[in-house]
Amino acid sequence: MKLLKATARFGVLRAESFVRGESTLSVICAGTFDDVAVQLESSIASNDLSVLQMHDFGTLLAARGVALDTRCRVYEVFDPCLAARLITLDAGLAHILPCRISMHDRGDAITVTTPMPSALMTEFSHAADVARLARSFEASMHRVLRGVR
Amino acid sequence: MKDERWLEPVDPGSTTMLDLLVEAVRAAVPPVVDTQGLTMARFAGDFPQAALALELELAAQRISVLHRHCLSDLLAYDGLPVGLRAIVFDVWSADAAAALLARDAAHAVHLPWRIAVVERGEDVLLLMPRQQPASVQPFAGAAAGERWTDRLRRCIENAVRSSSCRSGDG
Repeated sequence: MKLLKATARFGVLRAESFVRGESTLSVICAGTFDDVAVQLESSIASNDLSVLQMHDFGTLLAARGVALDTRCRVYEVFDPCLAARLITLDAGLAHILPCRISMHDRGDAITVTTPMPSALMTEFSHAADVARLARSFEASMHRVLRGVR
Repeated sequence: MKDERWLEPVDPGSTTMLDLLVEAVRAAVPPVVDTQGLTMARFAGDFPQAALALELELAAQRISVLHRHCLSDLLAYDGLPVGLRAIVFDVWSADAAAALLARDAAHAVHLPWRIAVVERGEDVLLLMPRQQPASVQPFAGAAAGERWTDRLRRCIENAVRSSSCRSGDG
C-alpha cells in the first residue's frame, strides 16, 4: 500500500516534470538513462558550462565489489566567471565549486537534480553580493535542467 | 578580560562568514571551529603542506580522493586569476556512499563529499560543509554509530593538530 502511494505521488511529480524543492531543483524525464545523459551533457554545453568531472557511482562501487541496483551519476560543472566572482566575494564558498548535477534512475523515469544555488550559497555566506550571484546562477541552472526535458 | 573585537559592529554586506570564522579559529584551541553549516580549521603551515597533510590524513582514515579541483589553476587557465589559492578535494568511501545511495539514490546530489583547502592572505584554511542533515548521513566510521562527517572532521582535526605540533603552537 505504501509503495502504491509512493508510486502515485511520483506519477504526479512526473506529470509536473520540473520540481522546485526546498533546497534542490529537479527535472523528471522519460527515456533511457543514456539518452537523458546525452541531453544533459548537451544542455550543459549549450549553457556555457564545462563538465570538469563525471562520477558514475554504479561503476565506482562495482569496482569495490558493491552492487548498486540503480544507475546513479554526478556531473561536476564549472562556470569560470561565476567561480572567480564567488571566491573573490567569499573564499569560504570554494567547497561548493564545481557545482553538482546528479542523475539517478527510478526504474520508470530518470531524475536530474541539482542543489538550488540560492539556498546553497546563502547558507554558507551572508555577503549581500553572493545572494545576487546565486539568483543569477540559479536561472542558468534552470535553463540547463529545462534543456533536458 | 573581555575581547573588545567581538563588540565591534559587523557589516552584513561586506563581512563574510569566513572573516568571522578566521577570527574565531585564531583564538580557538584546538583551532577547529564548527558552525551549523561549516567546519573550518586554520593550518599552521603553507598551502602545499596543508594539501599534503590532508591527503595523508584521508589515506589514514581510508577515505579515497576521487578528484582534486585546483580552482586557482582552472581560473588562471581561463584568464581569470584570483588572489588566492584553492583546492577542492572530492572524497568518498565505498561503504559510506553505498549506505547513502541504498537509502535513496536521490542522495547522490550530496556526492562526492568535499573538503577545500584555501589560502587567503597569510591564512591557510581547511573547510568542510556540514550541510547534510543527520537523516541522510550514513554510519560509516570505525567506531559503531560514528557518523560520516565526524570521520571527515577527524581528518581535518588531525591534519591541523600535526601542523600545530610542527610549528610549536600545540
